Amino acid sequence: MSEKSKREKKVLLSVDDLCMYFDAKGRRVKASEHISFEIREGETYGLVGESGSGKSTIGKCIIGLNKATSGSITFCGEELTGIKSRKEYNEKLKDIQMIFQDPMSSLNPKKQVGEIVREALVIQKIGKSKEEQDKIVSEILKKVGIPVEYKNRYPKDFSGGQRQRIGIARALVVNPKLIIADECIAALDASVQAQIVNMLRKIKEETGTSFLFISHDLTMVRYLSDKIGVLHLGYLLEEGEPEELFENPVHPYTRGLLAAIPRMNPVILSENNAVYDYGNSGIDYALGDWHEVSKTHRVRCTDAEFERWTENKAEIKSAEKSEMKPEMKTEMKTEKKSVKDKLDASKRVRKEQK
Amino acid sequence: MSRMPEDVIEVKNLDITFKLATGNVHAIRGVDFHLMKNEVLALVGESGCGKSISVKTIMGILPENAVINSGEILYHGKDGTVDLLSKKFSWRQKNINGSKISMIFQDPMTSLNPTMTIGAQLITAIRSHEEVSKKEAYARSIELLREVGITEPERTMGQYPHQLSGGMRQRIVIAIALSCNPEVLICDEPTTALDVTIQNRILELIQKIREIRGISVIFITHNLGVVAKIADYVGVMYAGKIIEYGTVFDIFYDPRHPYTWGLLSAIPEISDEKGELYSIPGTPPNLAHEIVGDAFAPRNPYALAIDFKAEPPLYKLSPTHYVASWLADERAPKVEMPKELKARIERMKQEGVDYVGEK
Repeated sequence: MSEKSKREKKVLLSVDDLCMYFDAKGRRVKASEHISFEIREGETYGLVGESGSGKSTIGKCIIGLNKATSGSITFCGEELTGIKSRKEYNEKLKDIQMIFQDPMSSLNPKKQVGEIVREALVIQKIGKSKEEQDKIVSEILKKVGIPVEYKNRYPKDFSGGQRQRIGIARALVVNPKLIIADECIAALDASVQAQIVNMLRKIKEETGTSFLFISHDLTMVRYLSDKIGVLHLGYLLEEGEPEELFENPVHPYTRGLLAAIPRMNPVILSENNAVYDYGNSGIDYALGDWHEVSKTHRVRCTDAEFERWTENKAEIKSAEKSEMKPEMKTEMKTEKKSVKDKLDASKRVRKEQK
Repeated sequence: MSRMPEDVIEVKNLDITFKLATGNVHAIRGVDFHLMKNEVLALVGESGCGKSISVKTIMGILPENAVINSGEILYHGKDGTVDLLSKKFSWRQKNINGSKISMIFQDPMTSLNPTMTIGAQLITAIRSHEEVSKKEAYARSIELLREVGITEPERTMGQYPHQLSGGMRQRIVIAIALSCNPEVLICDEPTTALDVTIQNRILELIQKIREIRGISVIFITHNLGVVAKIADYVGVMYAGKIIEYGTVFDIFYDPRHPYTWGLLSAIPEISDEKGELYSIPGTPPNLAHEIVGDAFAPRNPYALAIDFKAEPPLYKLSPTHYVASWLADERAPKVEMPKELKARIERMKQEGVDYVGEK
């Protein structure tokens, strides 16, 4: 997609300066701090971050399960925050659907899957008769790869991957403009994950639905998203197109996160020098502000930090190494040793084979 | 598989059926593996393939409706060899579980007692296996917490599980598992519930412990990236059987079973083009029905006619590499792994050579 056509696309959802605080026993838990981002029509936005970083909170704020402390959420040009009555909110929310992490607990075990999917149509008053609704349900089940004959079975009769497909069918059946997928593949096996991700991509292309894809699995997020936002401790730290973010991560946290992905190669071990510790990093997220790296890539930091991080990557790397704690150095040594051992062992084995 | 002199645990021909109201589920259909001293053996496979059940049998913690039809689990300890399956559970609890073989589970929250402080749990663990004074147990607990990388052990001793993060909790669980100096540590998906950064640290911790203490580890996971990082040996499981077994280099650089090919292909690469992700077609077989031939045959694009009739034996490809596939038979037609995977493995090898050269 060219730069130009992307900018022409209408903004579907915009989150502006969203804060979400929870008050618990006189203690204030700041789950989201000044979050701002936009999702355009047909675009998939990936939110990544570790558990407790506030990914799910944002999704819940959008759908109204959490009431934002401050800030605004605009969907299709209409303000969602500030609406008091649940009824009015639900009316606005017709075009936003959600897929949850655990497909077992999000499907009613007492209902047949055809009914579960049809229920969404009944609630939104789509389709004149039951027959018409049934037809829509059959079509959508076919689309997500569930044989129509299985319509009368119960959730317990399906495997995890199939249940997630049913969850997706229920979200899709009302033709939403935005689907919030909250860790929807985390509970599945790698091969099944691939099936679901492929299906979501296909659906995205066919229907033009926008997605907010919340996950901690960076490789999958990269696969699906047009734009990725990195969250940590409630702050959105860096945002950019997948290629930019993966090839040129600016924020030390993003760099650490990318380096921690286990590589599918027994010789290469994840880099250790990227271990990131907020407490010792000397970075205060609250002081930061947005800095543009490129038109589509921005990072939240102070001016000084921005200069330091973007100035010269090589220098940063050498600086990081000298700052390393002694125990980290020994860890690196043992790691190197084990690489060597592994190679030696494989060589030994190869010799024996001969 | 032939016995190695330095084996710690040997599982031989294990066969387990679950009795359910709807019929019998043949969950483990002849599993063989052995764990060598100071090695990490990873068991990988889709959910329901029997990885967890295999190790639960070692601990003797199978559900009541499980029937062990046949098999032996030999533990070669310092005091000689015992067949664990021939012993009573109470004997195993007293003499083996915790003190010789320890296990950690996926969710650290469910394996810690929420009403007890970390200190109390550690001290209980130590004192239930050894007769030591509370004071000594306390000192050892502090030592253990330090070993698993907790910076303020004195403070942590007085805290409750809910006050700690997921990564910290898993460290505590590891500390408890190590409290009685076991020879074998069994890890059942210990990092699946954690984020990549925390996962990385826990994996490094397990590596470190293995090196320092010289213990052996059985590591269960479905993440091949984790396997590549931690394992020395890998057993790939499918439908209650080990279908390929070898060193981590055998499995990643020279996989032979079509299922292993599928598993490796299904992992997205970080540097990948945005093409369609590969996924293994179909679903694992229902083990409530008797399986004829190779269990993977219906999903296998390379299946031969014999795959649907007879079960393949375990072929020995090298002293370390075994595969249960008719493709390894000398009469079978020569089948190459998918082109994409082959290219990828070549890239991986090159990457590895570059990486080692750099260091």
